[in-house]
Amino acid sequence: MKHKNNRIKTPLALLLGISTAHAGTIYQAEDYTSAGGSTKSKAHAGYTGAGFVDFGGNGSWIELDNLSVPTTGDYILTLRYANGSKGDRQAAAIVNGSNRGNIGFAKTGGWKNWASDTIAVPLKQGNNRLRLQANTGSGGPNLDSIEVSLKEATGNSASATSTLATNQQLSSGQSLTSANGSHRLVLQSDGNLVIYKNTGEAIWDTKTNGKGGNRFILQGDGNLVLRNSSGSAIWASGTNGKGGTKLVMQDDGNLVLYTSSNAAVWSSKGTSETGGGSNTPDTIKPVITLNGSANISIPQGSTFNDPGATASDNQDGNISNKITVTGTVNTAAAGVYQRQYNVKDAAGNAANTVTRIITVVSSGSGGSNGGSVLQSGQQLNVNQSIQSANGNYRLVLQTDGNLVLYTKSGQALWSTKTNGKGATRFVIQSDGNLVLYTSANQSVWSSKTNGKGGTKLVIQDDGNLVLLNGSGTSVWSTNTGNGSGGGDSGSGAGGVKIAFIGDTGYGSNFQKVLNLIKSEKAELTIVAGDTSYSSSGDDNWDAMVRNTLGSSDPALVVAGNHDTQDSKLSDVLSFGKSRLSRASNVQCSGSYGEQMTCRYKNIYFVLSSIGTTGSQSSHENFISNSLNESPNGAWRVCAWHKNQRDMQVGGKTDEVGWNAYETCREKGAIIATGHEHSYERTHLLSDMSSKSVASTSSTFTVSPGKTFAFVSGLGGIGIRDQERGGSHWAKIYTSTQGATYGAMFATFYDDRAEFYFKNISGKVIDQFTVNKGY
Amino acid sequence: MKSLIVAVLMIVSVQVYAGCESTMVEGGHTALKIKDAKAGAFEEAKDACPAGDITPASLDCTKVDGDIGVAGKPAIRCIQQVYCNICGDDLARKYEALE
Repeated sequence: MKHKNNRIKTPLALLLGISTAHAGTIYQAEDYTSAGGSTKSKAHAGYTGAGFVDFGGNGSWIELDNLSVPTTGDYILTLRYANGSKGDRQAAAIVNGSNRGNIGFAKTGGWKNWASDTIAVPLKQGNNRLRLQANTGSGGPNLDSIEVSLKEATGNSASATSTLATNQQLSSGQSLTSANGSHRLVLQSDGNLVIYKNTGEAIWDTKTNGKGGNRFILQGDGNLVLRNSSGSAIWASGTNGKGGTKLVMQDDGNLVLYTSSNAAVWSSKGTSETGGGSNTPDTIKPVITLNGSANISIPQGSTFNDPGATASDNQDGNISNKITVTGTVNTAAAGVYQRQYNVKDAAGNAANTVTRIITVVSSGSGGSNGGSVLQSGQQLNVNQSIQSANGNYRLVLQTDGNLVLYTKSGQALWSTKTNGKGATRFVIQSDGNLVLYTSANQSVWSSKTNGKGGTKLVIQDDGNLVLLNGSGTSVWSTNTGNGSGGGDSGSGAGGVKIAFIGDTGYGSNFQKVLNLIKSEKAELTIVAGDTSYSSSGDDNWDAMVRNTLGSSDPALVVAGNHDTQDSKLSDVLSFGKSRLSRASNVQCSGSYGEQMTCRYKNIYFVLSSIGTTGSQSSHENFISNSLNESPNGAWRVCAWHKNQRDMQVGGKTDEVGWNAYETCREKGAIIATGHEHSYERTHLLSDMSSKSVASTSSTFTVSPGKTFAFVSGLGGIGIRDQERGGSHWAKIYTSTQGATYGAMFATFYDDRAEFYFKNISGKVIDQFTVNKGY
Repeated sequence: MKSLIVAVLMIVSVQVYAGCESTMVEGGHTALKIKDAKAGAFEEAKDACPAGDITPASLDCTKVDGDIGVAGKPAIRCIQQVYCNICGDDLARKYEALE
């Protein structure tokens, strides 16, 4: 065979070490745009695509005018061919009209035996025209495909480095060696990618021997992929979109993929050392769930029995027995005490510390009048309280300076959020203002009701704390009637856990998801559409919810397309209304399941069937108007069923419009959806339609102008694969990633919310913290 | 010929009387395996029909370079077209949504 200067035979490519593939785009030869003397064929097995091109004699050719590359530069064409004749064959590569040299097609020992050869050619940005033309008497080969990949002019031997950069690759036989030489990553000729110690001991591999892998690439999308000669992936790290730019063979034997900011996104030690297809480092924190309330009030002199907590981890499962608890409760002395719960998983990831507040109430305490009323001029001192006549609610000025309204079970309904500000007395002044003062007589909180005639503060039997004027009219209240969260200052330290699901059906998978919601102790479930999928199953769906979560669980439903297509929409809505009517702790208004706002404690939901029923414009107006009326301080959540194409990773089209997404973002409202049968969550975005990422951190702040969206569509009806990706995604969990059913959970506190997606196997798939920036 | 015209008129009049219409909608899906691409496209097409019965029409599958975001190429994209037959309240909802 002849060797031209610019031609790279496979052995030479090996010597050059690292070449790159900007995307490794494969063009099937049979998809040529024009040809002369060559025909399409399927006569010999082993081809990829729909067939191959059977070149004719000398002068026969094919041409592809659509070789597209992102930047001008030198590229490598890898041609897959078979040559069953007894001698080598040859063709010229003519690029954009210029002859760039010959490609030799060495005999392969049979027409079913396929091999590859390469040639380096310059390509310009955009489309290029490639003609391959046989130029010897023996004609051309059978040509299967042409792969176009960017050539990197490093010339470095991969064996001499410990690092693989974006778009670089290891070819068969090449290796990365750690800086001190103690470990080596080798792509073996048998297709297995293996880490060896310098003692020769293998400590990790991809288990791909015999599968034909001959190129290991760090792609531009951050995914590590091992491909065979036909370009098919036979192993991948699954890290696309996670920002990996540098793979390092470390001295400690760990192979780690880092971002440009040196954050590890994958490592060979992320799972077992036996390889596998989706190894990721265990960087996910365990989750702690308190048994019982986060706020407990007990009488002085009683015994405090800690209800404990449970902990689960994505890798280690139930690790409740590893929880450590700090903090003591002295029930002999009135005061406010704290118990902190924490746990670490086997990888050393510590959970977010969860705190329980225990208020030991003085047995002799009470307001200045010892009852349910504080009169003008009276005050509460630290550890003093008043309670409702029925004994179900208590207002206490805690030693930490926070004035808190508790239920009998210890759940905080409302507080002044003044803990740590030094308040020592709470006064109802003669001017009608309620004021918290420090010992230095500095005001740290007030009701701003001076001049409104308030003379009497009453803690009512329904849990509402009301300031009445002389004629008995309310001039201020905490809006906590019937035990709901306060409208004045939101709920107290205790979190409110909400489950988000969608696309359920009414089979056994949905039952498992319901069981999960129950075991996670979610107080309220938001169903983002598509319930039973059957006109005869709506009553069964309702019964499953009631039997599992309790008859008073509202399980708020917003209608999806299958609620109109397959269910009987009127049944879906009437069952939903009935559940809502039995739930005393959630207040909703509007049209159930279609245009409805709901308040549950410190959370305000705007639920819309946009894209399913009603006109888009009417829903956009409803969402905008509802968010404009958001209660002060309450979390804002938008929920609907359908998606925009870029807000899901499956095959859904633009069915909602961007206005709804952008309106919610502008108000800092979290966007919960379903429709696509998978789970995916965006990063914090400052623009939804352009997918502008404001933060990639797992702790971020939603605020007017910035929010995130998620799809929680693994409620039980089915699991779909991943079709789309993008750097705006923080987490993708589809059948491609081996997904199973599950639910999104969020515990909303006053200032933050702890989110996690958990599957029915108990694994935490995604976990992040959202701060409230409004 | 007369019989044919009468038959057509009868069909049309029945459709009008029943408040029904039949439109063609399509769904697309990209996957690594053609089987998955076909199944996904059919599901998406079904989802694109606001309600009612569907009748499969054409199915077209082609290789794509991939906007698939996952390992593995080449990918297959299938477009499934279906006839979507909508009546009554479902039809009213459809037009309400199109306002």
